[in-house]
Amino acid sequence: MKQVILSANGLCKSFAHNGGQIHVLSHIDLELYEGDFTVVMGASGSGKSTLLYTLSGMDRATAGQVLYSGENIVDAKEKRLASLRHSDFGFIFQQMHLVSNLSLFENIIVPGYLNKEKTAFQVRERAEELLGQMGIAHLKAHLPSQVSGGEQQRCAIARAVIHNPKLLFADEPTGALNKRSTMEVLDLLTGLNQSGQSILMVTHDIRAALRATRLLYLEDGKVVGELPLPEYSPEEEKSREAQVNAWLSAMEW
Amino acid sequence: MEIFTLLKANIRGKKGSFISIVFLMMIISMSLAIVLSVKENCRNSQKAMLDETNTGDMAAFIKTKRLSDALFQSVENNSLVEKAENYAAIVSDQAESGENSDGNSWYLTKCRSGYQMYNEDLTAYKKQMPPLKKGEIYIPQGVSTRLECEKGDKVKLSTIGGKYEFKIKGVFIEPLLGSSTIGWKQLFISDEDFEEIYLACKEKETEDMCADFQIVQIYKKAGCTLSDSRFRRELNLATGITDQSSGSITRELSMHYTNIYSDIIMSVLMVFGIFLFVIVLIVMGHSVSTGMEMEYVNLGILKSQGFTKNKIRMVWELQYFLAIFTGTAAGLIIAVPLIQKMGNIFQPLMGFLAGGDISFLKIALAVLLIWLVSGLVIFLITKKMDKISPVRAISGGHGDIYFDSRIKAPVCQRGLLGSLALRQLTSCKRRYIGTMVIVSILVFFMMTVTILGNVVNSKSAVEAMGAIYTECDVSFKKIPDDKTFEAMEKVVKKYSPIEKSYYMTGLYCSLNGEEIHCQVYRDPEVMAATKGRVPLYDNEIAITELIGEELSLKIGDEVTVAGIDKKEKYVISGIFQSMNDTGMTFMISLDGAKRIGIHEIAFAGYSLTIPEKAKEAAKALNSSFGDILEAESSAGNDIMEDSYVTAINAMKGIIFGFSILFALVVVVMICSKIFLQEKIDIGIYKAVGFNALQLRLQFAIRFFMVSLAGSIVGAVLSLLFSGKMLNSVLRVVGITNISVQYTLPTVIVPAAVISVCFFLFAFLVSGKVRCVEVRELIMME
Repeated sequence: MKQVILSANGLCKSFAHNGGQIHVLSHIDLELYEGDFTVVMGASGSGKSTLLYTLSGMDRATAGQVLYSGENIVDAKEKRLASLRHSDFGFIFQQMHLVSNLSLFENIIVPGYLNKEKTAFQVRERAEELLGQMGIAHLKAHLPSQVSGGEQQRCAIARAVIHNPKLLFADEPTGALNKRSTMEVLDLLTGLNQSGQSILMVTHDIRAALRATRLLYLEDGKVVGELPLPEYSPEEEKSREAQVNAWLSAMEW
Repeated sequence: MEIFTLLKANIRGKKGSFISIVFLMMIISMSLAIVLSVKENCRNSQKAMLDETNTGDMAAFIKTKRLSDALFQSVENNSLVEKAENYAAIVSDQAESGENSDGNSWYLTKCRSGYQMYNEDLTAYKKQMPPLKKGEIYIPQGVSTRLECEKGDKVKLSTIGGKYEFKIKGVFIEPLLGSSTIGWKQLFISDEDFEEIYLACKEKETEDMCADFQIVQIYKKAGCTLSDSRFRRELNLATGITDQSSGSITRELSMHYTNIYSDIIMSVLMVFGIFLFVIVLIVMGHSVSTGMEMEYVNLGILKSQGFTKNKIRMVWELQYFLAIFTGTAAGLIIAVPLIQKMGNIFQPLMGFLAGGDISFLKIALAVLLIWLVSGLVIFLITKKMDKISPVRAISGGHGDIYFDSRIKAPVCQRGLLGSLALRQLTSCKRRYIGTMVIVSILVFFMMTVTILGNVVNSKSAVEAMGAIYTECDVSFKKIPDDKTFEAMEKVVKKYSPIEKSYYMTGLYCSLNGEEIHCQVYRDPEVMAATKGRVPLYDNEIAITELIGEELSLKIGDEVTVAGIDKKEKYVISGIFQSMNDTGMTFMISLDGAKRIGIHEIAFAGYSLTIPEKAKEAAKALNSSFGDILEAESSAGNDIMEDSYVTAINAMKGIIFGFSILFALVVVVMICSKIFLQEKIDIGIYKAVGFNALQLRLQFAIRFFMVSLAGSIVGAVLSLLFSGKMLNSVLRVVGITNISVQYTLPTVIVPAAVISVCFFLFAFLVSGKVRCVEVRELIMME
């Protein structure tokens, strides 16, 4: 029996628009489990990214609850949310969003430093290890503008996991990458998941979806479908792809 | 129409910049309007009063017995002279009111027509001066300032005929000698008192002691183009009138002395105003260039839609011009009521109301210049717009806002916020250079004005500039001899050891035909020479740098000094500094003065090791030598008169106040721009776990660092240039070699005020960080 790591109850998110309201998420009940690589798919405007950011506390829900370790983070104060971000959650964005005047190494260590549980030496050691793991150790002194998009994203992944987060949120992490870089990043994420990292990723890329252990389909702000999958292995990719494609067709994707 | 639409949209989108520039230009135009108007009003008001009182172009104060008919007629008949008039005066050499006293020559005369007096609260004039009764006196405002007395108070005046007490009936406007910056004074007493004192003085008159004077008003012939000082020199060479006088003053000289402090303060404020304008130009330049950086894509879009580069530039130029025009207009409107108020600050020093007129022509020229320079700067900066390529702009081809820096400040866990702030600074130095320059200018002025404040409040600094600060002062009624001096010192030493003592007299002598103040010292070595040495032998004199420049004299030159009856040759042995007669003075030893018939010592002063004993020492001197001298204690008094200190403090307040105000506006403008540029980074930092307080602190620390660096530059500039700037400003009071004293607070206070203000303002402005949601990052995608 898997442990629930984060759950949403009756989660709603709406935006004011031209005097009216646009309901992006509508009464979503959802549980995320420890060790899962959960991937949310859906058409453009279905509310995938909004769901990710609302679940992670980056954005405030209009109604409902997001429970993390029994705490409703919808009502959490800014300081508490900041603390969650540098201790329990990690984030990967489509546009990488590295701080452009910090080197790749510094981009990784800064959030590590925020988490006071580790000494500066430990943070640096871990960052070196991650740089090696991500294959960008030789680029550690480079600025983001001096490396490729794929290398930036690998650095962003290292940054996201520097404090060993309980849950890693990824918003279309391969959306801005070429095919080769996409595969490299997906391999890294898969590797992380297989070593126990829980991940919630939104994507519209089927190659990314294949890496999931659990697929969710979002439509008009509601979760309308779910597909559990076994752990990813490259050998079974073809059959897995067929299975996912069939499921997506059924979802009218 | 399209230009108007874009202009409206631009202003709407950049309200902050627009309002800030309006505000800055308002301050600049307001200060320039005030400075230019007050300076002109002070001089115009005095000139009007001099005309109204029918004051001559030159006034000579001469003992009646020396003003022979032949001398008077030679003056009257001189080709340069229109007419000459004289009237009787009695000289008083000591005045007291309450605890305050003054040892200058004050001339008591009967009431004269044409003069006006102040109303009760000294805010307006009354044409009519009611006749005086016995025991009543009219005083000029300079007396009121010097003796800290007012209408209804008692004032005691000592003459050789005795000491007389008067009740002040009112304060009148005396434009020639009425300023507190001039030692001589003219006071009106009743005819009855005049006759009585005159007779008493006549009875006590001796060869050396004489109170019977004539004030000779001499008027230049219409069409005489000579300056007043040239006129005085030519007249003296032709008639010897000033050689025979105890002193003389011209209109120009009186205006110079009277307006000396308003001129100094207005000059400093003027220079400050000009530097504030430089700051505004830097801020404006920063605003335009960062604005372009941020609007890069929009500018590309406009170009792609068919807007020509000139049209786009015109919109930007119009936008800034509109702010400049609005700010200047607002500043001029606000200046109108303040001109009068600012002028009133100098009233106790000048002795008359400065008036509230507006110097339209000068202000118009200044404003025009401001507009031209600002226009040129905006024109040059917006020129960069020509190079924007629509394709590159739209495709996001504009370079990163950060630059790889050679200075790689490390990011550390301890002091994480500080190290990140430092990294932010080093990686986009260009953005902060303007801010640093602004801080350094502000700190430079704050330090300079603090130094000026130190100078007027420091005994050692005042002494280094040629003044002697003593706690026990003596003025002699009769000529003392060396034995008396020894006996006096013995009395004083009973109360406190003497640190320094001087015996001197001040009078006017002719130096190469020019009437110049002369300081005669029994022991000239109490004074310090800035070059060469003080006169030790009887054929030597020392001059000030200003005399050297004015009369083209240098050390080693031979000069002719004329006393009342004799002329002798002397050699210049050194250069010294003195504020007496605003630096137009020379020094001679008593032995040297004796060669031209000057034997008297009129004043003595003692600087005591135990200053608190000065009162007792003065009392003992009065009781032992009461018949020949009058001693008083000045221990505990301010080093400079309150009114000067008030005026300098007002200037300090203005400069500190404006600096803080500018810091606020600069921070608001620059922070807002940087904030917009760094919005994404703020989002990233929030996403990785920084909270709003940490980010705001990082923002504020960054500005604190910039202001600290700027303060260091400002301090260096101050070390290099404050002395030079003050020397050039203070030349008018005779200071050519200011003793700049840097105390720790001189450096720390301005730097701390500015740095703390920058930190606080940046922290407040960065409050917007709270509104940046990490959602901003999602929007980017």
